[in-house]
Amino acid sequence: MSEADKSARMPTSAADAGLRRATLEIEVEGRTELVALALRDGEWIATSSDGERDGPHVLAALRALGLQQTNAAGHARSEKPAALPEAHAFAALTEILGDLLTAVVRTGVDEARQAPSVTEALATLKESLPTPAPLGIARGIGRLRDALDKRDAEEVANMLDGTARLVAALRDSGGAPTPRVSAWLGRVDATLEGGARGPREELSDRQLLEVGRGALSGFQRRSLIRRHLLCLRSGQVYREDFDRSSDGTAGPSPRVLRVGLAEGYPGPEPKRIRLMQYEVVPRVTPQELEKSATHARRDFEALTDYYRKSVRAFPALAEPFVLIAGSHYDFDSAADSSGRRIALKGEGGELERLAQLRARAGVRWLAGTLSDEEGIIVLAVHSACVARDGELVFERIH
Amino acid sequence: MKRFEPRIERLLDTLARGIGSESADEARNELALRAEADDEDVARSLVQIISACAIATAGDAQPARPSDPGRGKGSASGSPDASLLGQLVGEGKVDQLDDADTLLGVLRAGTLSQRRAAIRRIVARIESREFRGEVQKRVATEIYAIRDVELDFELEAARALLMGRRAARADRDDWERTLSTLEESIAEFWEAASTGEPVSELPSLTRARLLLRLRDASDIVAAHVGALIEGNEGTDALALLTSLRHAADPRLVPSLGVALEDDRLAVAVEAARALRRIDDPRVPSMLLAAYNRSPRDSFRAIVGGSLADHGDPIARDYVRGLLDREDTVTLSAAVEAMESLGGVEDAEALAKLLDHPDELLVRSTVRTLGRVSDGRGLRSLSALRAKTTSSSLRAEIEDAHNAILARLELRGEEPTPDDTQAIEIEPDTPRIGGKRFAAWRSFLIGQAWLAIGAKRAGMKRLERASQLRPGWSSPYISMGLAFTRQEQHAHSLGAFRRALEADRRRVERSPIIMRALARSFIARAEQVEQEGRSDVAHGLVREALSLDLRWASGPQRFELERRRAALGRGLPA
Repeated sequence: MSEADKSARMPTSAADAGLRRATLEIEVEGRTELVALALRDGEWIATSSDGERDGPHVLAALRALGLQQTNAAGHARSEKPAALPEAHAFAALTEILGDLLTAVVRTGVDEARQAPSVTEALATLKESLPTPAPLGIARGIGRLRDALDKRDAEEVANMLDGTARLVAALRDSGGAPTPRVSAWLGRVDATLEGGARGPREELSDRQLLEVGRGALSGFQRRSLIRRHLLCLRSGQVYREDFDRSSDGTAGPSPRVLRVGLAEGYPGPEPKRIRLMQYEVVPRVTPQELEKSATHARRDFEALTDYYRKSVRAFPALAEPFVLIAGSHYDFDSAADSSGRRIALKGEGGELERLAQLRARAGVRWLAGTLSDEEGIIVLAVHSACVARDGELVFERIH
Repeated sequence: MKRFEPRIERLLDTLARGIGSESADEARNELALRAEADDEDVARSLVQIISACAIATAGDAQPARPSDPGRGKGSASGSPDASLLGQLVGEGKVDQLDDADTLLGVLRAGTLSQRRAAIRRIVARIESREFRGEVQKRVATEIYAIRDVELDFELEAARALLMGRRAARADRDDWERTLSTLEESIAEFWEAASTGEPVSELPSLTRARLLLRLRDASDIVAAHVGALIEGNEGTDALALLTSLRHAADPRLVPSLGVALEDDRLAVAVEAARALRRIDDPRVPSMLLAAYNRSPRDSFRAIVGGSLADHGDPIARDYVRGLLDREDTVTLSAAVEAMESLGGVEDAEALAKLLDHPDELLVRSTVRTLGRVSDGRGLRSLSALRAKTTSSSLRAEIEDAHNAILARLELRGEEPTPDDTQAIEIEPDTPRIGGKRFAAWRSFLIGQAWLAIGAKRAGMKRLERASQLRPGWSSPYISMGLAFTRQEQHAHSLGAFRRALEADRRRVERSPIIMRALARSFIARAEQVEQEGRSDVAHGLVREALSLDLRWASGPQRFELERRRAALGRGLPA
């Protein structure tokens, strides 16, 4: 019997009933297969013996447990992984990450940035990774270093929580390409060292409007480039990440990408995308901006829930990016129709620039990354859509 | 007010101090872990609990009541200059001036932002017909005489107003057609319908005009230029940034912010220079972060100068301390920065650098003295003018001299007679020759032939005129202009060089001749570079820049400077 592992996202109702792990022997049309299910970090990992993730045996097992597959948003592929990494492929990495976690907590956030044990753990981690390092872990470590620089214990806790969950996922799954493992350790096409590919969805015939771009910290400062792309059809914001030394998609900001073929990867918000066939259109029409405005979030209570859910699912990696349409704007906050407010933030001068724009034109939406500062939801503004002389125009703020 | 309940606050405190401290056992108790639980278990439990609590309470707090930024541009600078110019620091201050002579004085002597504001104010006064008759004529004369490429965008608006509506409209229509064609090319480029990058494929003077006046271009053009700065689309980012030094377009701020972080020092320096000219609230904090981050003196000096133009003189003492450095790179950067950071008290320290062996540093010092000095600088400039043989340096000195005089006037001072003595301009010397009449006759016949299109006969007559009266510049000038019109730049260069030998002063003081001459130099340099003779092209550009180019057009001077910089680095111009 060949050992194949397939993962799919499932509802957690069975978990609510206390179920954590199950192995079922299922017979369908005279053929018997083993289907193993386990709850990992709030997600059901389905392991079948025939390599068919959505095959009749898996589906029958799910039905038998009262579970239904919910991974229907995209066109989840049913593809056999190229090969599973050897269990020990990530064993060393698991230990290094565990050491890093312990080193930071032993030293304390106040002193960790200069602590030799932390410096050594980070250096060892970098040495253990291929070059260039997988984007997920590079970003996670970049955020950890930034949080340590700021001596922000809450932020550091979130980063280390993400690291701890990765360690647990690697130990539990033996390096299987679950969404968490793929998000941290997958290459641009979600392939792990050893060749196994993580889950992905195929996207086609989409129009993506770029609503943000910038450089982020990885192992080095500003070594990662991220572009935020809004799907004008679904309203989903995707991120295109790439290492500074490699090329991403071409084009100015703003731009519209007419996508013939792309892959989206389940994981932290915003979902990562890889564009394979696309056309760049540098002119963004008012109609396209009008369409984008329909995807702006107007309910800030729901926005808060979305933030919590995103960060809870993927601590350290989730950096939710949204479009908001407030009912009212002040210099450094926006309010929805119920009066609930979120804070607006800029790295320097962005809010003054926004105030200048607001003085001349009405704001249709603001786009930016959400974060939590002292319990306040904050939007770091990247771009805006404003009505200038009766016509919608895009303004890059950041 | 604490965010969490006391127990979680204690855990947060433990994480801040570390479990290596004496509180480790307390942490184990708080986490309900056994005393023998290892540190990794403690660490995992600790961060998971804090993280979960932070996520659960995210959004529970609301932002404080709306705050006002309360920041006014220039308010932080605390200008030490108590004179009228010092009082004009800050947004809208120049707009309160009404007197034409005062505005012209600010135009000559003010900071970059003051000079820009002065032109805008003058334009507004002309439009509202408050400057009329003799006043308008005087203003127009000044406006046409300004050769400062940094003001080209503002001057364009003023000149358009002065040249008459029809001419202005024709010029604008022509320019809009150019931009429209460019937009189409940009769309095709990104849609992969064409491979040549459209901005770099523009004729050099059109490209120079575009980048100097980018603020007039549409969002698609600005976004395209931004993409060229940020990415690598087959263009030289450094050359592009050099060309964008005077663009002053706020739409480029995010892209220039990326370039400011570039690992290549030259790219980051050019980004700082370009940001200096952009009036945008995002720029000061961008520059301040770069200033605080970088250990490189030359970069910090340039950034410090740019910060000063945005109202933050934080780098003043630091840059003053660099003026006694020996390495030319740092010294040049410091002198450049002092243009924005310096004051009259720096004149003496700067004047000492006028004896420096590096000619470019001397030129930069002359410019800076013109921007910051009082009468003390005049004597040093006069002495330098008396000993230099370089036309271009003399022109720089004259501009600096005029700026200082204007500053003195605005400060209510007068220069001493000694200050201006060496700057007096020598009168023309009349030329008399034995075959003067015959030369004139040949010259006039040659002109007539050229006027009716008989080029060969015309040129022959002009050659004859020059032989009859050696040292007479008129035939050479006519030949040069004729060759330029025919796009025969290799020939026109020879004629212009002979004209310069005969009467440099006449040639350099004529806008028509200097524009044709500059055009020929640029075009010829472009031709020879395309033929692979970069050294020759570099030599031509340097030769052109050694002339007094004040009467050449702004884009021409800009393009020559850009080419010198590119060719000097061994890059294609």
